[in-house]
Amino acid sequence: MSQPALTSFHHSAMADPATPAKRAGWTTHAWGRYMVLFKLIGLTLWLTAEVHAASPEATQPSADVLHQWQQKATELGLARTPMWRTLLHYRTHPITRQLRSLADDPGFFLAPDGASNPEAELQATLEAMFDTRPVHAMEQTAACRFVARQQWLRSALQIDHELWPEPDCPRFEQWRSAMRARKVSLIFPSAYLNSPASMYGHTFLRLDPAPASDSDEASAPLLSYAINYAANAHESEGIAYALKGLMGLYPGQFTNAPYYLRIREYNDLENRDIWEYELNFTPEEVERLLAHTWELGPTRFNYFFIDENCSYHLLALLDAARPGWGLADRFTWWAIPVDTIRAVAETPGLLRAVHYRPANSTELKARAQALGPQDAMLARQLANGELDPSGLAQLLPDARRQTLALEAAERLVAFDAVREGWAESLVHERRLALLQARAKLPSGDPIVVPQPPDDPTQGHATARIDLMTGQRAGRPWLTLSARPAYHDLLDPTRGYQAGAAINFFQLSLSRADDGALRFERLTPVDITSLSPREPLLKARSWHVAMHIRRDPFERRDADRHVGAELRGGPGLAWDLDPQGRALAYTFVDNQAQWDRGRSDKPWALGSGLAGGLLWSASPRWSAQVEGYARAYLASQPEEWGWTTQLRWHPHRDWSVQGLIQGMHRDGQGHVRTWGLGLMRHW
Amino acid sequence: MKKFVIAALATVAATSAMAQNNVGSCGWGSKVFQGQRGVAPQVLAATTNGTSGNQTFGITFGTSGCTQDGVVTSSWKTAMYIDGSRVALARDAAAGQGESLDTLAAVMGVKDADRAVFASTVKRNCGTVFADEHIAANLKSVLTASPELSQYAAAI
Repeated sequence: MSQPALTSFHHSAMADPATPAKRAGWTTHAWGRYMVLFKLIGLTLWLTAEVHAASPEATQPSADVLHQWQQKATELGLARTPMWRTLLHYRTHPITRQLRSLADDPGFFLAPDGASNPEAELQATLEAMFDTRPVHAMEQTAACRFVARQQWLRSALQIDHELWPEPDCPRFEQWRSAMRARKVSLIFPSAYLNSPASMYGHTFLRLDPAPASDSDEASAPLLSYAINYAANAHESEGIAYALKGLMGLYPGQFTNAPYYLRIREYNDLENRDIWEYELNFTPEEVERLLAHTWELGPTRFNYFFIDENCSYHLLALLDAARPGWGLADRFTWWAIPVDTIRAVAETPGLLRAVHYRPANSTELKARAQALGPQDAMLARQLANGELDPSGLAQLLPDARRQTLALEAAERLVAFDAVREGWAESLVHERRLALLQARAKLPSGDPIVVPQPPDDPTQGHATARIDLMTGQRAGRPWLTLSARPAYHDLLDPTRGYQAGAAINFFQLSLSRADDGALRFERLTPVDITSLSPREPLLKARSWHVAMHIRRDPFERRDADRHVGAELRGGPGLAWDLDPQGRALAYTFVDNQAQWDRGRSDKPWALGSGLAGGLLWSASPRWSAQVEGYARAYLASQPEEWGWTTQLRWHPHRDWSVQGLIQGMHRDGQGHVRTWGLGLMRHW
Repeated sequence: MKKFVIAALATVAATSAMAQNNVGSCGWGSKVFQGQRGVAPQVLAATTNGTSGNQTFGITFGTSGCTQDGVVTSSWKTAMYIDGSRVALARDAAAGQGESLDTLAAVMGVKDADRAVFASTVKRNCGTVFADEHIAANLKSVLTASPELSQYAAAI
């Protein structure tokens, strides 16, 4: 646009007033107007070109501005804030004291040393925010892949959104709006002993839409989405599963599924009651949670059964919603699901409500109880196919009771089908017949299993430390024990499953006379499952334990060598009391022992019988009496013994214990121990 | 301008690619009413020990045809719910009441005024509806045959 040319043209036209000038005059006048128009068009085009030059790639701030932001981030110390630590999952190793991210996925970091260098990671993140190449997980740009980081950096650095407009993240937006998340609930399928993997319980999150919605669908929690972190394991059972889970050899994965599928999995297939802990989150907190969930989705974390498990990672996710909260930090060495929920439930103002969903087996037992023991047997006969539904009316004239029997029978078929592995076609046929018979009867009032007064968070703390003083084989005796988890048969049962005991890594030290405190026993695992055998469910009991211990049968303390024993076996238990406060049980007590101090061979393999009574007189008192007798192969000496224990629980986390026991091994005489102790749960 | 056109084309292409995943294979077979395998075996297989490695719902994994990043696409919502909740639905249907049945009505958009008829119709025909694994198809035909509820048959 050279002004001089126009001017000269203009002037030359004006300079000639002759006929050419007359034509030129018109032309000049027209041109004059057109010139203005052309100038305007030209200016517009020029401006448009400039704007086009500022297209997506070039909207990124100049290197200067980026550098400024990076410097501001350093000055503000953003890399050391709780939020950055949470978003990157940095944790100081409890032993080596090194700072490392728990994420085991190189794709989670933008700096080469991002896993251990928060500052470098932050700088690299800022830079990557403007890289428009969709090279990150799920074909996203860095700004979309790390959307929570993006949003947080934007607000922490107070970046004007004109300088850095929000990038378009269609995949995240689509997912986010489909989640329709406004409420968050922490879901706890409670522990059910018969399945080793379920021992610790499990936790996951459920995201619900806003309560008051015009759509009815909004208030159906079954349709909500559940965010779950679990090991991507393919071994279904066995030692391999346990070992790999303990050593972090499984990749952990965040998944997303409709809640109804989870209910099916936990309530029906695994017979676990589900507790739902509704939390108080603000809309901003929910948004942060969603953004960070999106970041974690494609990120691999190695799954560690003890510390970096489902519950731990869920807490880390909740921490992203409320920076500075530090929930996950409270679980350094191990994270037991119920402890993590307790941490959440005991945070002031966080827990809004608790809901309960009974498992299939719980629903079944409720109906059986309403029917009474005799009529409940009809349900068993219906389930076995021994009684045809059409013949039920004669035996149970009352329509309501017929309903209970048919519903119990159908649930029993479903229960047995999973436990026994029946053929799908047989199951289906039987269930259909029972359901059809039920459908012919009036609906009646819905059968509701009342929510138990104590949810799992009301239970005692899982770690325990014991101090006991008394006498062993006539000498003063002191023991000190500690265990990280979980619950034994005499611990206060409130909030726990009756008859279920799990003891992990309990360590005992002892002192005889005024001697030194020495190693007494280490119990890597000790599990007891006592399920009363009532005719309907025909539950089985079992017991397994491993101990590394000083010989318990040797009288002289100096001669007590360290050995090991592995024991276990199936058993049966019976309710002696309709309220379920007294239980009688018996076990096949198989045992393998290794004792260096034995006369001939250190190994002994044997079996025997153990039996006892377990009594929870009231929430404050529990007692146990147990006896056993064992015979061994290869003429190894027989053993027998008995134990009586009484415990008083003045408080949920405090117990006073009285213990008397006698042990006898042929050839080694009799050892009697008694003690009085104090136990503290924490 | 060229960039805008390219961007527009790309968006259209991406959307249609995603739309394609909705049609046909869902990973569990095509829509239940066309008589394919159900969800149940897969759910059972992946969940025996409570650690579901069911990749279909991974946030990371794109799609199985009926889910995108774990979200059930709208055209599959009813069919998947019916198939996924079949056990609880059968119980609620026989009783003529219950949360799973209410949720089914909600997913299908059954109006409040029609809920009672819906529940009683399903209860009365529960033998037909749950006769085999093609629950959605069976329900559809039961609804079509009912004068008050035929409008909802299309929701399946």
